[in-house]
Amino acid sequence: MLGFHMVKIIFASAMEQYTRGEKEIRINVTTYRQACELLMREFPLLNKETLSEFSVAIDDEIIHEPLLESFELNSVVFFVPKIAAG
Amino acid sequence: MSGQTSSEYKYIGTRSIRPDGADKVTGRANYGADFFLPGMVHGKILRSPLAHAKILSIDVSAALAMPGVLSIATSEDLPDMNAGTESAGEGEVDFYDFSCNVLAREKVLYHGQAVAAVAATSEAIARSALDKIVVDYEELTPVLDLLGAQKSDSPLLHKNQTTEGPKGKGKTPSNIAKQMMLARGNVDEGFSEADVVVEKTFISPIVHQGYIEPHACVVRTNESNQIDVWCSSQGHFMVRSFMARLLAMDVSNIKVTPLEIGGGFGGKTVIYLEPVAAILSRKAGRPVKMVMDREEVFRATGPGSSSIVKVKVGAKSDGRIVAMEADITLNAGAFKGSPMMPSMMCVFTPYTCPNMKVTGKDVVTNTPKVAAYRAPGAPQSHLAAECVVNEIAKRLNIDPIDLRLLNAVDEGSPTIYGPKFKAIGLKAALTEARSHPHYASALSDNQGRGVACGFWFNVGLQSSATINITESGKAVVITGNPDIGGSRASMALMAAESLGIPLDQIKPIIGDTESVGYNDVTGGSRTTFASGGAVIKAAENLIQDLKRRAAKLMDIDVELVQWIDGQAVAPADLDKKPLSLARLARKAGATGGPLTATATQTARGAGPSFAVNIIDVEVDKETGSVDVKRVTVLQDAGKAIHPSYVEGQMQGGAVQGIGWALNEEFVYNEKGVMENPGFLDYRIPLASDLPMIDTVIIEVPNPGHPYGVRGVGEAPICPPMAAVTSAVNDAIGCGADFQLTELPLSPVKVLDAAEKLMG
Amino acid sequence: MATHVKTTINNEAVEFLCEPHESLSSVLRERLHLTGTKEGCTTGDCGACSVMLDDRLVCSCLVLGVETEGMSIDTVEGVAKADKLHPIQEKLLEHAALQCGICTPGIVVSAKALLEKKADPTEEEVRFWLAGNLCRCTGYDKIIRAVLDAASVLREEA
Ligand code: FES
Ligand code: FES
Repeated sequence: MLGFHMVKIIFASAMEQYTRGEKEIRINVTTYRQACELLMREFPLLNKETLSEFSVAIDDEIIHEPLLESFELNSVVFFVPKIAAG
Repeated sequence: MSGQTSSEYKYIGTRSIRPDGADKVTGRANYGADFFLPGMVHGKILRSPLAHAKILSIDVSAALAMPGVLSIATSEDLPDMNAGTESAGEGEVDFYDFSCNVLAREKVLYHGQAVAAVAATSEAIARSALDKIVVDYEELTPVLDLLGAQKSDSPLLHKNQTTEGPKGKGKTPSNIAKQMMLARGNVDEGFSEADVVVEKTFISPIVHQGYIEPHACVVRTNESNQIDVWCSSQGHFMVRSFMARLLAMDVSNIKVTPLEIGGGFGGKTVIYLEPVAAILSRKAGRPVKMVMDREEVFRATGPGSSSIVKVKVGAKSDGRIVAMEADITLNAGAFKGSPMMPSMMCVFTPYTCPNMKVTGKDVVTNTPKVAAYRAPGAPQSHLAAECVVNEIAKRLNIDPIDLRLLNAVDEGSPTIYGPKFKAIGLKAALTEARSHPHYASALSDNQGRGVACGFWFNVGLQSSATINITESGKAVVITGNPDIGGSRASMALMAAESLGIPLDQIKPIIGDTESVGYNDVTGGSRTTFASGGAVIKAAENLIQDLKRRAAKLMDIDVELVQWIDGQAVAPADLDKKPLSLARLARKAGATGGPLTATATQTARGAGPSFAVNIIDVEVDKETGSVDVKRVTVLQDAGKAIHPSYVEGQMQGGAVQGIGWALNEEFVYNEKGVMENPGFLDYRIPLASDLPMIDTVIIEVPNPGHPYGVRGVGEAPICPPMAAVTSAVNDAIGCGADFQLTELPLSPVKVLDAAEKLMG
Repeated sequence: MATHVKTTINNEAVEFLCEPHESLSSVLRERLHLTGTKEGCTTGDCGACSVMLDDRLVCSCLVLGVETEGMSIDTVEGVAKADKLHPIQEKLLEHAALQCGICTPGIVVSAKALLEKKADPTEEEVRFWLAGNLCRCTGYDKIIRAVLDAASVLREEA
């Protein structure tokens, strides 16, 4: 499907309270920002604050500040709890 | 040492003398309590005598009337805060809770919590003024037991706290702040396939990071609402942003100058004294110095979580692990926020097992609010997981390292939290451990051996660096992370390597919050990786500039200039003399002005680190005391920038873990008063308790860093508790059914277990 | 009432006023700003405050300032001589035997006292002598090696 950018988003378990228990979703977006907008529309309980509590792993690279990230075709994106620590 | 050699580098990988070394061995270096200002007065904190109580009233009038008393602070002086967590740079913080931990509001939630503070012309006057403050409390029943706290009839610490869970917030108030689950595959199916299943619960007590330097600061406020702070911390930018938030000020009104830090291990990634000192100083019109004593450090600063961790593992008879399940309960202390999540994410990460389920609980009790402690949450969960894996190995009669090799994650293995691993060194570390002479050595009577592995993520986060070139061509390298264990040395090595100039031409310094760009804390094992990365980038920027200037001086095209061994070099056929950095520095005025370069980054590509321990112990069957006989620690460090300091992290982490396993524990009475708030009774390991700690650095380069660096500071504390516990169980002859499952493994417990086994 | 005390500190005559309850570590640090002597506990358990008092190794937090009248005190500040580090200091650096370094001054003073008593200590003797000096960062391995190495240097020099 040319021109489509299907990205697989997998939620952290701590997000399932906002996603009606959905564990993952495939969406058609090219950037993290688009993904967030779409997710907030799809799952009204999700808001910016909540989303910013997670890092994302885009194709196995963990990114702490993903705001401006874009995705590849068929990217796999995990929301991962932020780790800081001692 | 093994792995790749460092021959491709000139400076990196060498064991240089640390630049701040002479100041530290002569006593010249200034730590938190070593700073003085003219006119400075002394602040002291009044602490709660009760573990759980309502504050009905605080009367400070008699104290304030004492000669020499200049000001008093209570929570009334702190701005109002909204409850609720927010993302604060590196994690979630609830500033209402944070503010209450700085100075209690409404309730006291642990013995020793700060209630009020006094500034006076001498420490002695400040102390006696504390006695004159009258606080009226309504005593409540303290909640001390991690299991009891979860019962529906338990007294509540926070009346508005309900349990946050995968399905949203609970309806009824609870001491369980959070409940989460991680899973992959299907554990029930996994267990049904298993030929052997082991299930066991392991318990660990509250422990302290035990840094030798107590918290200390000097704070000066002025008439135009500027605050100057001198303190030791794991991040002066962290101090600035937390102070600003707690005092409702803008960060630009606060300047924090870092002093040397005498140990932190996570415990100095938060603040206690600084906002209080700021209030006292503002009211007194004088600079205020506050230094905790050791008792205060134990009673009121960041311990590590106590834990109850149940682990169940199932394996096939050939050793393949087919199901792993963990139930992790961590104590948050008085306010929510234990390292439950990382604990859950780490527990089984060394294993490829397709079926995993991990649940976690974050529970509040009337004990001090926990702070990060080296790989927060991971040692507690690894204790259980690694011991159970060792039991499985015994049941199956398979060598425990072979069993791990059979099940170990490698490049491409998925983690339970999602992403797959890039290049990692667990298998390499296990293989080295397997062939280490230690592992082949014989044990004598009453001795036992334990092995364990451990995992920590490591993080990147934000870093800035500036390089200023002096008129004589030396490089002053400014970073913004306190040097807690030799980071100046590694910054200097990376700068020397990048710039191609000798190490003695580099002067690494730590800038205050106004002389270098923002930096996240020295924590998460990030400094060498991320701030080092900023230094390398700044050096690259500088080299670009140097090449441009050299091209002008040589009157050739900039593309033709190369930077080789600290000099700008033109192609040989052009017959131009190379220009050294010193020469370019002297010509800086004519080529565009002083030489300086800056770089910042939000570092990504942090490389996770795995550690493996082999530990031998000997148990005295008369007394139950445990003697640690031999310790070998192996770890994937990525590229070791300064091998000695990498070994030092490995050794120090191992010994902290050994202390945690054998001696360390907060002992509470039924009133919730800690009974051992000193180094005599809270016994950290002494030189005489230990053997040498042999190290093996594995160097599997991290693809996410120009020199292949991984963080090294935290993984070393992950395996030792499990390795020691397994070794002691082995020594008393437990076979495949560990009897000792509760830390610390004190002589009484060991003796009991040994006697029981003998019948 | 403050007391007037006359001492010799690092071979210089030093006089100070102090209150009867003030510890020597507090006098050194707060009054004389000799902050090389550290305080990790003020209860005699960590050794960060180690000094020599009339050639005896003591925890200065357990000595009262007023007790030192007429005595000679040697602190870490007096260990290096005219820009030359003492071999113990050099070896601690060479072996990277400090991480945060807060315990280091105490270890320097304490190890020096040991090597003055016993030029050729065993590993075990060094471990037991330094059992009063807590270090939370290093696990002691490199400290022990540094002290043993310094001992051999000092024996060669002697
Ligand atoms: S400060 Fe004197 S022994 Fe700790
Ligand atoms: S180096 Fe930090 S306590 Fe010894």
